[in-house]
Amino acid sequence: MQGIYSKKTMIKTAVITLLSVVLFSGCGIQSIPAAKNDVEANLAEVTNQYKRRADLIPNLVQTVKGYASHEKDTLEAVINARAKATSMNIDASNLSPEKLQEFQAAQGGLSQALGRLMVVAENYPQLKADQNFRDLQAQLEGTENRITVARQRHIEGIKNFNNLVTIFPTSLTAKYILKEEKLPQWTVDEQEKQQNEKAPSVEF
Amino acid sequence: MSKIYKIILGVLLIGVCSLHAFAVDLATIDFNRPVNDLSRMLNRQELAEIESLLYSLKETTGTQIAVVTLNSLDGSTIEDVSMDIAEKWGLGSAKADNGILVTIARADRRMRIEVGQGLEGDLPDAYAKRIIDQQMTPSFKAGQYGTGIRLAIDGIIQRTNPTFVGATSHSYSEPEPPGVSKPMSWPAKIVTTLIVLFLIFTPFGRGMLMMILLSGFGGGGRRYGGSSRSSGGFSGGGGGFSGGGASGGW
Repeated sequence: MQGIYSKKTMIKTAVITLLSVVLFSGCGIQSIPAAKNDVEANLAEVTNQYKRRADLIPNLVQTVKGYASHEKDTLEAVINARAKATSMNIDASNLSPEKLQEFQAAQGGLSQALGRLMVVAENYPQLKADQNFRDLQAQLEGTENRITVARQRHIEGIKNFNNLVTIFPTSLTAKYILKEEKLPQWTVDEQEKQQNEKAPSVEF
Repeated sequence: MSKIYKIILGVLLIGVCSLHAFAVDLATIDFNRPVNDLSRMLNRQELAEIESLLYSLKETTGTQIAVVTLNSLDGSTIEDVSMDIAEKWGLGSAKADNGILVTIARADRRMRIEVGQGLEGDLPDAYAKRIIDQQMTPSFKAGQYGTGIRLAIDGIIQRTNPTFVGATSHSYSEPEPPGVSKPMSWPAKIVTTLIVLFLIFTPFGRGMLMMILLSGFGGGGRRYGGSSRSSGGFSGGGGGFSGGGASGGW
């Protein structure tokens, strides 16, 4: 391969490089790396917000324990899910589709466990009236919202990058000069789908 | 290959179209004024008072608080709509990210306080939630929307700018009109007298006086020809939001 094609490939690469620099400057040579940096920053924000959520949980579990100590199973499920979620780290350097999927599954598991805890909490009027619990609940809601926003931005960033990498003419720059490939996108996994499709509980 | 491009473009098109179909129409929001009362929850006096408070808050402290009342969320969530408006507006400065948006959807009976990244420390989610639960919700339930919004703004300012004089509703007074100035102290009077004498009784002074008068009229014409509010309305400075704040319903 190398021996036969090297000269041809070299000339081809040189011509494409020259052409790209002359014709397509501003068509990817700067915007693709910039888009990649955005994706990395967005991912850092996602993991940052997930960490923030994990940090809230010990306090929340303690507070709930104070009023609902015999809800052991639910509380333990949260603690275990938290342990599992915090043991996983993702960053831009090891971002494979499988890794992202795993991370997502672990965080989704924690979301579910927390959701069940909040449903249980509904049965304890004294707990619901506790200002400390209410504050924690507000913080948790705020953090969940931040996670949603951070994930949306990450998804948007990946889409933007993938568009640059796959759509002409920036796709040429990506393929021949920067050697960039499409990044794995977040997907809504089965657990989450079920959770989303469930009808919201009605309060009376 | 061309098939893949077509699919991608198709998906993009569908995405763009569906976005437009569901999103609340933001074109009706005027980014140059602090209160957009689109669902008419405030009377004229309340509107004027709150706007004037928010203008002076922005001018003296930099904190930019805006209020938007909507009729309906059109099937979106209050969180999505609020973030959409806050991002488009860019409330607060890009450096300090000190913007806050209060969004109320009247028909859906939902409200949200969206806190800019730079103010998340001063106004944590838990306090934003307390403002919603303790100030806004009771007033809104009683149909007193103006009071609820006013209490919410006072509560926010007490956290973000505790020293701002307009923070409590009773001590708030209309800022002095620019033309009126305080009485001068005696050293200032002597200096002013000397300057006036110099301007009138020396040839050089008279020349300067002419120039000042001419340029003064030119500037005056520009100043009063524009809008009554100076400092370029209420447009955002590119402040960032990361989803902090709290939501609630009544």
